[in-house]
Amino acid sequence: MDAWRVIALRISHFLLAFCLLGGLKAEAGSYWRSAHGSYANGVKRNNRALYNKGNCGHCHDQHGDYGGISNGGPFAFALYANPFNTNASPGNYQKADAFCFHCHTNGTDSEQNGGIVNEDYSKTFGGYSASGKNNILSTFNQRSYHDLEDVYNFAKNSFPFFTSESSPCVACHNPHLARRVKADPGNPAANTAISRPTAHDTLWGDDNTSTDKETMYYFYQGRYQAPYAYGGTNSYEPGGTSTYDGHNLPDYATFCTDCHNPGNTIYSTSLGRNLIKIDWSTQGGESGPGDKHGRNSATTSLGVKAPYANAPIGITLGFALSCTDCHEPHGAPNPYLVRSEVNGTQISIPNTSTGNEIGYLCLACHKDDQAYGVSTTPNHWRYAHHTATDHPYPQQQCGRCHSGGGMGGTPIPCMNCHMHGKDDSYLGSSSTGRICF
Amino acid sequence: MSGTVKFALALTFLAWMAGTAAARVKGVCSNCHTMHYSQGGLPLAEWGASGPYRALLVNDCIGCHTGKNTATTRTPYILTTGSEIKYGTTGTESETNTLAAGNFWWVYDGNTTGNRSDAKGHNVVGIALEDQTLHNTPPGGSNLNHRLTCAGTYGCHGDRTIVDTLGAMMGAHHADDSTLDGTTVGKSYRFLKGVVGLEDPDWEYRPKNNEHNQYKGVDRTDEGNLDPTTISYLCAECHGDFHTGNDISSGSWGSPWLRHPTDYDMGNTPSGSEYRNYPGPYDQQGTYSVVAPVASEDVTQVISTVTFSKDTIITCVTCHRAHGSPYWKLLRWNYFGWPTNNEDDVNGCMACHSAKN
Repeated sequence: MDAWRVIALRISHFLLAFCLLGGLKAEAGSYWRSAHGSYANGVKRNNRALYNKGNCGHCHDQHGDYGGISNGGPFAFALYANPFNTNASPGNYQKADAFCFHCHTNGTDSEQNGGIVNEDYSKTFGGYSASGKNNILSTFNQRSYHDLEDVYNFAKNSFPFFTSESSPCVACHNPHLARRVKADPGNPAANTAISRPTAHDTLWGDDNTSTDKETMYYFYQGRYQAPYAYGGTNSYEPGGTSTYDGHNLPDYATFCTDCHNPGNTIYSTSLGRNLIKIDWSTQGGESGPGDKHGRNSATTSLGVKAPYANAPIGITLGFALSCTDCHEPHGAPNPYLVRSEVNGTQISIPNTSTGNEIGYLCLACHKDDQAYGVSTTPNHWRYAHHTATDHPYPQQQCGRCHSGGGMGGTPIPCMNCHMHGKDDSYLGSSSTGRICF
Repeated sequence: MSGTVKFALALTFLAWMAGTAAARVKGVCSNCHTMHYSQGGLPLAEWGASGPYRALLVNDCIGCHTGKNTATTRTPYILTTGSEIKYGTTGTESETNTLAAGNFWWVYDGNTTGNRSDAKGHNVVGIALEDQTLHNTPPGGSNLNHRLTCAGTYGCHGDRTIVDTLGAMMGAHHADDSTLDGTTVGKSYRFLKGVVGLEDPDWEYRPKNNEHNQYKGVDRTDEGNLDPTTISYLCAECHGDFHTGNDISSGSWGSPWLRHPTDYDMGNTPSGSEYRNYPGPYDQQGTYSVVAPVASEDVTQVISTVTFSKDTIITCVTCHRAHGSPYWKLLRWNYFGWPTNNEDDVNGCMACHSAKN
């Protein structure tokens, strides 16, 4: 072998070794910069006074005891308490049911020195002040919630990092990386608290470049229009800033569809059925597949309110929404984790059974009859369906779809057609075949 | 034989000597013994004041092993007074004068400087008062109903079937220790009967990655897979729950751990895991680190580069110093005081938990 080939071979070996070793290198300070590891704001339990704030020992008892006294375990991951109670009562979770709740509960019960305030999404990033939930545990104990055992069961069977001993919280959060996202409500991307279940060892949302596309701006580039923040029409979510194109928002669409995608069957205990599969990416046009609130799009027109009407981002069709535009991540006072405020509008979905209650969510962005100026009553939708540009159903044929007789008949339950993945096939021969969500 | 060959042989011999255990005492008898505990009618000032001592010794264990370590001292000093002691940050720095097991200074009842704590060392009788929190119950173990001693049934060194401290050590200092097989006290690593290992000739005075003790560990495959020759097994004779039994791993063996594993080889972790970046911020990946030393199954030679194959075994002494340290829980580094307001500050945990920085 000649000398030049030897040199070239050695250089290639060096470069290979460099790359391999580089792959093992951890990002410097990733825990130090996390919410839990912060010297200034990190975890500090009252009964671990000797540890600096942010120290590992506030969560981990390396030997299952502290000061020579057993912690009652030992518990998995050398935590000082049980990661998760699979016998917990959903919607009535207690502090001891999940390890994280030991601190992320109300200020009186929290083991964190001084307590922790975690408002819900509607307040923290939407600016809606009347949410009334200021800790993570309480957000799970509402009308709807992510059922932690459902999360646990799905994650255990889906993600290699998630073990039978894991807490369901870590399906979405890496406690050693998650940042203090509430610290800067106007830029949750920079201080993201989430890690994709398929990429648990890295944060999601903090990279915001054309090569590392982790914000909503890049989910469907240039198609994210931020909703209004609560209280005005000059500021946008998240955080009520002037940014409206999603550069400051983690790509929650990609994040949530790590689980909620067309390929996964996820059982919901509270609904008593499998969840509707969500296709936020396919662009199948009017008849699908693909949700039009995702990358798919209506093709002719939209009857929407500002800021989607005359949208600052400069499009009239083809908006791609973030899941958090409508949903709370942990739990909500409305069904289906629907936020208490959407696009600057307070949302209170009645606990009745007429079938069109969910319309109170839709009208936050879509024009109902009141918004079209043809009714004084909110949550009526005749104009959009029968009169507006690109209306799908002709008037004066009420009986083909509506029951009840009389002028117009009885309103049709919204979710017969308007639901993730649904079209109007419910209407039978009157169906247009359009995807209706 | 030519002069060159003789010189080469001499170098080879010296090199062999340097790599050989040197715990067997050398020197004149009177360094350690006195016939009458009297010289000119009085005990010598450098002898212990509480004599005469058994075996005609000039002092007891603590008395002989109290002093200041230097590069040339041939007695390992385990208690050094506060004005002379230098630990540094991890006990491995260039100014350090403590040894592998640390120093009892920080638990010594004569330490009135304010940095003394029961939690900074083993409360050995004759050095420290009884632990006011734990008393005689070691964490993870049962009440000894007896103060901790240097050696014997209630100690770490010597024959633990013999209660008497001196009796448990009888003859050990004179034994042939050229082979450490654990069969006798003298043939055991640091006179810890049953334990094997490779002894650094200067007891890790300012150790380097190629000059250090080589601790014996075992790459366990099961919680019940115990090897009495490992250093961790010895610790577990008192602190059993932390090493032995059914409550170390939530499965048969492996993560999720219930307690921090010992006698576990990091080579069992996935190839891309943070543990494969050992020793994290302390050196190039794959370099043995004296900050957080790992054990090996093969202790016939000093390991300076680890391969993650039965040579990256976590032991009790990976994190703790057996005698004492300036830090809580006898830790090698200031774990309790981390993090600080400086992002670049590190602690020894990161040698293995390299992503938790």
